[in-house]
Amino acid sequence: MSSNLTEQEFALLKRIAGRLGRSEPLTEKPSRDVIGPPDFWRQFQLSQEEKIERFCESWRALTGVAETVQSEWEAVDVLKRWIQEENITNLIRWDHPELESLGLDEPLRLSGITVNVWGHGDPQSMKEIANQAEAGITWADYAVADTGTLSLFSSREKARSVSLLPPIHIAVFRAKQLVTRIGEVMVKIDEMNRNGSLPAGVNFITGPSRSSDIENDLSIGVHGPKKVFALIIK
Amino acid sequence: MSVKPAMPLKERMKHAIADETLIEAVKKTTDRLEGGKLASSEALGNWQEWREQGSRIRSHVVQHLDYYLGQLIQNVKKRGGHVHIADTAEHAVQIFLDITKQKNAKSVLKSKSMVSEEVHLNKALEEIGVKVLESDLGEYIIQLFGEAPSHIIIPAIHKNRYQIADKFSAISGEQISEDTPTLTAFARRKLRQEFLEADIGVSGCNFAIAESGSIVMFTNEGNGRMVTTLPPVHVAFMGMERLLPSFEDLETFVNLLPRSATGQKITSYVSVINGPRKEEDLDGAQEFHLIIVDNGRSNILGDDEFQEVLNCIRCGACLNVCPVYRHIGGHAYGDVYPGPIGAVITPLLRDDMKVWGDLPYASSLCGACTDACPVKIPLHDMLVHLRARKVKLGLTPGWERMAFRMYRGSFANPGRYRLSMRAAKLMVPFMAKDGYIEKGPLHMLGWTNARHFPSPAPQSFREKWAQLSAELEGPKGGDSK
Ligand code: SF4
Repeated sequence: MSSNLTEQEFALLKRIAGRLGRSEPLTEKPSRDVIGPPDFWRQFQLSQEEKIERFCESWRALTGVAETVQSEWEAVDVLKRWIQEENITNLIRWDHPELESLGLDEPLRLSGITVNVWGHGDPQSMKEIANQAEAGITWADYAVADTGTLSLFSSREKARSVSLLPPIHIAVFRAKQLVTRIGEVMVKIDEMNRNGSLPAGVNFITGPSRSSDIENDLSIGVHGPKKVFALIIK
Repeated sequence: MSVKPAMPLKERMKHAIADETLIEAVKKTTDRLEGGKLASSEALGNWQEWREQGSRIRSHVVQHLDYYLGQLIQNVKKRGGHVHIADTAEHAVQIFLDITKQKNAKSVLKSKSMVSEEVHLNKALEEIGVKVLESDLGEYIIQLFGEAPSHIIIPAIHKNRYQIADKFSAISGEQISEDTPTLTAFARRKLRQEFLEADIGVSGCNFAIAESGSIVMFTNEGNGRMVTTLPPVHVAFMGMERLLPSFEDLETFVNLLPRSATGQKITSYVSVINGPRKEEDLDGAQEFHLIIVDNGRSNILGDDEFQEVLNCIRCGACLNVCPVYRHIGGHAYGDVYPGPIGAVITPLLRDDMKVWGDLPYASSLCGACTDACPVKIPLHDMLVHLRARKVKLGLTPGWERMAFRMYRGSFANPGRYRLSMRAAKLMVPFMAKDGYIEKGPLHMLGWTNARHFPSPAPQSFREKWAQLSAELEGPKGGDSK
């Protein structure tokens, strides 16, 4: 295993091994009896309804806005309403098939809103476009009920900037993408790693960007979004 | 490293104690963090079981660090990242300066990283004329003041809003009012442009995942995401022990760390970086470097008394409960890591008891730090071990050694003990007032400077005992019926 280590890397491992009482660095995977979370925590499972409820509750506790809808066309209505209420005139969205099939762009453009789709257009200026946008729309890969957390996997179409640069982040997902605890997503990431499909970036997002660095006073939106919206389609 | 604190510990403490703003702020913040921690860890339930799990996972990693580090290095490379090994602080800085040169970088934007602070990266960059900016709001503020962080989690804990507003006004040339939203908005505006233009983004690494070659960062502000998403090059600094075997293990620390640090159920952003962006991706850094820093850590490995300190996840919980830290704040510790963890790890990392050996005395040994630690590091035992080490090295002051020799002499022999007690009692009328000694003789001065010492009881325990047993020997209690 040590074949493709540089001399210096190997020297460090050797030094460590020596301190730990081994003459050579360990190359065999050590066996272990503790992995992951405590046993009792693995038993924690919520029903579909409970997951939706728990997610919304946790998300709202951090000033997030959450709504549930029954259908795609209802989802478009809610999104249109949010965009209007926030006076958004310029937004950017992921180039995601689910968002595409919602058919959101046309009605928004008709009401005078600029809709940018990530990756459509000059790649150099995409960053600037995302930086100028007032809202970014994503489709969450998973959502965690326990903590009210979104999980987003990056790709060419699913840029990290879209959930980061605009002051408002809107995430849409289906109820079946909800899991109870974050460890369920962690296990999936381990699987993706083992089968070679790990994305370059995974972001877990829980509420807006926050800081308490000035006299313990909570302030929102220091660097990331100030407002976050989650829309769950049943 | 030959870095020395500017003043001896006692002087640093005197300065800190004289600063009322600091004491007020530290108290308020630590109260809030500690309160939040208690509430959120209670809400999670089975807190002790979580701690036990965290402690066992971390101990396993540290005991097999050669394996996991080897695995990490190979996987980072497999993902197209560059790995650098830094044996010392100077070495770490040199590696970074080389990258800067190679990239012809003019500006470096950092998100919070204790390790880069530990190796004094900023100073070195400024010396060669590279602009370096901290982007964490608290770090940004103290950088503007030219100061060092005073808390692991809330670095600008010692600055109030008026001082901050004055500073912001001075650098922008306009009047910035002191309400939090205005101050925050100013920092957002100011730093956004920097994020977009920086040549290199620097981050820390809360955990690296050995099995996948990933690094994981916990942040609340999103600046960690900025510096890894926008600049073309991302460099992460990592203490060589900050590893977990797989993502599955991360679940335990996603639960333990934020609760212990700020009382949040989870940090706003948990960002996982799996090397540079994929070829087809349109954002994320194109180049990824991981600098693995030893800087004294391997000295601690294999030392039974101290190895467990490498389990530390830098949550800051031990600071918040420490009566000494709460009184003097972070700067009095003289180095990057304050509070109980600093008092333990600084002398060990520096491997210099002569200069840093007084830090383990900045503790009341009440054990609150050990109880607070989410990975169950026996901090107060380590403080005692360090003190013992200092004594063994003969580094304690002459008068102290003499005093303890005298104590030993008198405590070892009943006759001498009684004699010294009687002598002490004879002295009392000259020193005590209303049952307290306000100004102690010799070595007691240090104690009585800050508080009063109760004067010895008029009747000693032995005298009382003699009297009591005489009473018991006398007429039997049962006879009174
Ligand atoms: S020693 Fe324990 S409590 Fe202190 S910072 Fe480290 S992990 Fe947290």
